[in-house]
Amino acid sequence: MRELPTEVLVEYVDEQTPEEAPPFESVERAVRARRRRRNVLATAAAVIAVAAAVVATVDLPRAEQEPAEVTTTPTPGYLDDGPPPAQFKVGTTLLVLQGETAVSSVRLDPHRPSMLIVEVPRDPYVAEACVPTTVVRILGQDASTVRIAAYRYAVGPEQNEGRQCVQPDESPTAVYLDLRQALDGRKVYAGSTGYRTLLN
Amino acid sequence: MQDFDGDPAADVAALYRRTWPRLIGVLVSIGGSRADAEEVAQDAYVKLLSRWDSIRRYDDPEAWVRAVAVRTLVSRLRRQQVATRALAKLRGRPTDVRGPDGEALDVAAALARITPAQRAVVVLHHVMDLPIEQIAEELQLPPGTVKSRLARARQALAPLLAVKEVTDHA
Repeated sequence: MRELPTEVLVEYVDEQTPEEAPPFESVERAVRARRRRRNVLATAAAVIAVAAAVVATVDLPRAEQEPAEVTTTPTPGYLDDGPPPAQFKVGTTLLVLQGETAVSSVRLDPHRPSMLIVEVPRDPYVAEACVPTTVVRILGQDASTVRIAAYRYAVGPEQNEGRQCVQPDESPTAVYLDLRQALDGRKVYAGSTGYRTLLN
Repeated sequence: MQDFDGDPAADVAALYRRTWPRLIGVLVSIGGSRADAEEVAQDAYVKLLSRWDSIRRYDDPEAWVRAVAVRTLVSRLRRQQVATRALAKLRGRPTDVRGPDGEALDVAAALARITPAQRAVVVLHHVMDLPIEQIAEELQLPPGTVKSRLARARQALAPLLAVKEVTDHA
């Protein structure tokens, strides 16, 4: 077996070996610098954790708060469960409840067994705004009946959308109302009180 | 197990003064610049000082520092070698490795012909007199790998260094 000339290698390594070590302080300085870096990182992590906790704590009550009275909905037709809100927004337009209005007819959507098409006459004395102002609500439903009511809203004060539409529509407003369960022959009462039956 | 007087900084400082020069010699021989060797060595002593409470109980704390430094340097050199080869490929020029200069025994040039990992086992075995098992432990390799690296290194270095034929009586 071939063996390397160890003395040559040892001599070479000796040539690369310095006489003495540099001052130990350089190692201690490096240790201190490393500790400082670690502390800075730990402090930064702690600050971030505290900030995250503060944000979470501040956000929590917000999530638990009652919804604001002013709600934002894309279409009034979706505001269909329970009593009507006092006001709501369509985009940036504030709409304020004026009162209940009559329902002229109710029919079932031929393609959707849970969808009612509710017609509400327009108010001939009030200029229609360019945003939907009629809302139909489901006030209650059980195995044999469904009670609905229509409400009129007006554009709130100092709203640009309160201007009269150029070509106001004369026909009744048709509002689609999803019962979320098939009507299935149940009676439909219109109005918050009384038993005015419009379907079945 | 060695005796230390209990002051971590003083203990490590004493070990540092005693072992630093040889460690630098070993690291420079394995490869890289003197600056690389000093940086890697300093990093190893910094780690030693931070973990002195547990390492002081070892039989040979010097072996621990050397193992950390050699492993770090070998992996650093391996990365540099990969980068150099990739660069040479991009430029379309082969990596230039200088051979021995005439009759002069150029150990550095001979060592440059083998890989950093092979240089590490050659230096640790032939210069530091470490047995195969200890090298395997320090480099965290199977003993078989150390043996094969050593054999390949000898084979590569044989034509470059003055070698003598010896009979293996083992």
